[in-house]
Amino acid sequence: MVRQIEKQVAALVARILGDPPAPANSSNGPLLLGSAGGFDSTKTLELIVAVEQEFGIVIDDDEISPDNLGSTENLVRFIILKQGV
Amino acid sequence: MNSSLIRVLQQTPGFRSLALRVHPIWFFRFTRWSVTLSNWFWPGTRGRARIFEAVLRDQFNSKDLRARTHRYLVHLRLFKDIEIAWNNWEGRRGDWILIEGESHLQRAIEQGKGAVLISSHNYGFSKLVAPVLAQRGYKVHRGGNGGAKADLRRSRWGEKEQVNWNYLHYKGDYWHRVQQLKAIQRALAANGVVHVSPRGFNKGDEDTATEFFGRKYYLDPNWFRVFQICQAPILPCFAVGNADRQIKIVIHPPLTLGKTTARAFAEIQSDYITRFPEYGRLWKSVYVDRGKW
Repeated sequence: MVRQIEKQVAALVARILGDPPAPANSSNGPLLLGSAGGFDSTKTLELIVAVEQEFGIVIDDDEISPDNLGSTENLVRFIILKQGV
Repeated sequence: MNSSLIRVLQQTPGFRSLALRVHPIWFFRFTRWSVTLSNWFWPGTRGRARIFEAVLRDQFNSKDLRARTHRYLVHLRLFKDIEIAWNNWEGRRGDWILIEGESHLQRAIEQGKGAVLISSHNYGFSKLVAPVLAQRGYKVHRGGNGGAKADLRRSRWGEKEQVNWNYLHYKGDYWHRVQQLKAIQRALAANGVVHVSPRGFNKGDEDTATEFFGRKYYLDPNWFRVFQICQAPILPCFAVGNADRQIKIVIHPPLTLGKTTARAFAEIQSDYITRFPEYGRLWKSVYVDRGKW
C-alpha cells in the first residue's frame, strides 16, 4: 500500500513539474517539494488539488505546511495518515 | 489636501448626523468643486495634475485633456472617500453605483464552478466590487496581499456589509500564500465569487503585456494558472465613472480558459486604460520611470 502511494505521488510530482518520474525510495532520497524543491506556490496548489482528487482526501488550510508537504516522503506519510491506512 | 470636508464633518462630534444626511449627488458635486479649488491652490493636487497632463499631452486635445485631468483628480479623491460614502448612505447605493453585465456573472455561477472577477490593479473603483456584489447576495472573496486587518475593514465598510465577503490575504510567506490559493480554490469549488486584481510589472511574458500609450506592463501570470487549475470561469470586471457621474461596475462575458486567457484580459485592460486613462493611479510612476519603459 505504501509503495503504491509512493509511486502515485512520484507520478503526480513528475506530471506537475514536467520531469520524468523519480523513484521515491531511500537510495535516491525523497524529493523536496514547496519552495525548496523549486515549486512555486501555484504548482504546490496544483499538487494539492491533484493529491485530493487522486487519494480522495481533503487537505485543510492548517495542514498546508512543510511538515506535510515539504518533501515526497512527508507527503506520502501525510496521505497515509489522512487515509487512516 | 488630504482630508475632504465630508470626512472632516463625519469625524467632528455634533456634525456627524448632518454629514450623514448629505445625498450622494451632493457628495459628488462637492467633490468636484473641492477638486477644482484644490487644483488651483494646493501644490500636491496641482503636481498630480501636471504629471497626468505630461504623460497624456500628446494623446488628447487641450480641452479634452483638461476635462480628463479634472476627472482624474476627482477619481483620486473619491477613491479615498468612497468608504465614507459607503458606510453612511444606507439604502442609497443604487443612486450612485450601477452594475452592467450582472447576467454574465449569474450565468457563470449557474455552471457550479464559481466565478472569478478579475480587475486591473491600481485602476478604477475595483474595491467597490466585493461590497456591492455582497450586498446583492453573492458570496464574495477578495484575494490579495492587503486587507489583513479585519477591524479596519469593518470600520470602513461596516459590520453588516462584511457578512457576505471576506478577504483572503497573504502575508508573503510561501506556505501562507499556498494556503490562500487553496482557500480561493475551495471558495470556487463551493460556487463562490472570487475577485482579484493582479499586479503589473515592467518585465514579463509578452502574452501578458498590457499596452498603453506606447508603453507596456505585464500581468502576473500566476493568477491565470490558478484559475486554470480551478477551471472556474474568468470574467473581466472594471469599475469606472460614467457620463451621469455615477460609478459603473462593468462585468464582461467570461474569457476562454487556456493559454490565451491572460492575453485576452490584457487586451481588455489595455482598452480601458487607453479609453479612460483618468481612472488609472500609476501615472506618477509612469512619469518618473518613463525612461525604463
